[in-house]
Amino acid sequence: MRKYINRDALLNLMLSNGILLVIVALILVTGAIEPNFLTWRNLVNVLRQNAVVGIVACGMTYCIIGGAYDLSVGSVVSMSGVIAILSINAGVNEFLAIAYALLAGLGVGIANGSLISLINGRSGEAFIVTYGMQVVVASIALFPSNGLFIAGRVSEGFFKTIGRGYWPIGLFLAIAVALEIILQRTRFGRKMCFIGSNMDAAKMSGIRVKPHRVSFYAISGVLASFAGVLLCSRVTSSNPTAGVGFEMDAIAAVVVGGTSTNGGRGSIIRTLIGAIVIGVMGNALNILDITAYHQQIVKGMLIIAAVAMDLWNKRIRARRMAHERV
Amino acid sequence: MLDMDIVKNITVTKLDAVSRGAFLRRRKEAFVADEYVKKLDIRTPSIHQVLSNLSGGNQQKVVLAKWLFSEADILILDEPTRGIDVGAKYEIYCLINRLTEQGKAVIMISSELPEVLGMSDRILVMHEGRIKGELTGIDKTAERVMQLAID
Repeated sequence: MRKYINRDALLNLMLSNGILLVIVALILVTGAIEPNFLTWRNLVNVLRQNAVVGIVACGMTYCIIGGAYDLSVGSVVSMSGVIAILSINAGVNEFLAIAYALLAGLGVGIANGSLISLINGRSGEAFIVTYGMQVVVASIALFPSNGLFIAGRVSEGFFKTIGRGYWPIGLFLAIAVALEIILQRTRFGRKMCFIGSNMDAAKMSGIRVKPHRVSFYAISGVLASFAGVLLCSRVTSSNPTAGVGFEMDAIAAVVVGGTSTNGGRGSIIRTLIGAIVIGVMGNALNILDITAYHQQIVKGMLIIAAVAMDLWNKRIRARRMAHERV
Repeated sequence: MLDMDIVKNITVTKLDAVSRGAFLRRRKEAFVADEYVKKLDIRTPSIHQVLSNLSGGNQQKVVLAKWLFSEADILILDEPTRGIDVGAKYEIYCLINRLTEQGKAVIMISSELPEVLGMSDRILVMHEGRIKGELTGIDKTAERVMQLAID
């Protein structure tokens, strides 16, 4: 009997953290082969590189827990960078330039949320609406610069600082912790889970579903535009296609972290771990001299494995519940 | 919400009452849930048990608990005893009676005639979306109900 329980606990641990275990193994192996991998400098580098996608993924986590994806974030990253750099080049104060970029992101988020709420959209409709928004916003990012890079005439200051050194890492961690506390400890977070779990039941329980859904997308939009600002700050220029594919990278971080794509459950800290895992894995594969093309195969398989793990986990838990039923 | 635990399900109807500012007070939530689990005799190993692990009758009691917690004056119960066993049915009836004793109004929707006849002060008979008639006092008989329903 005792042995049975232990095996159960081990199985549970492996199921809920399976991906992490694989990654820990990968890190140890890589570290053994290449001592430079496990250095402070390398790890800080990896974190810095992944902080931008990580921040986008935090917003994505809110949308997914709330019941639907936000596919527009990649374009928002591009657009906000273009807006920030253009504003600065036009002589606008750097804080104001950042504010413009964030406002644009907020606007896109509110537009997403309002449209989805208006048609009372489920995850399918939300998918399509935010995809449409992605296409629209991508174009808004492209036309001011005719699709070209813009070099920023940025002097030393706040804008230039936040994309460098420990700043992106610190901001990413701060945002993640703040969002996690809001998710787990506030009324807003609780309502988010209820809406994601069962929208109709949430409505019948007296939760005002529509304004809440708008706010999930608004938060996602603001965070995506902030990520765009950080990205521009690091290279002091804007690339109107800088954010292409970010939405999928963000979803990957959420899924690998272990937040359920069904909504209603999840955590920002898991997303943080997911983002770091994907970053560390890419870096480890680089160090192991595996080409970028082959890396995509590993990354894709990792994402699929994460979803499979989630489903498997759920099934086993359901089976165990059936046994315990009172 | 079947995939959430008892605490979350009960407090959702009035989160203001279990929070300070925007923040939830978990101890208060647990206290409230504990109170209702005892009051309604919900049989569960823990207040953190997920709803889908409970039997139908106990799930129904949690739903009732959640609306009691909202302190509504009028409760509309749509088939409150559908699909649950006789014992749990009886308990739900007792609960409804206790509520009305406390001065709350209960509108119960049911398609089980004995239940309707046994529980109600007033019966409104409906047929194809229309109210066909009202029965009170000694008129509350199965014959009268059926008569109105098929008229």
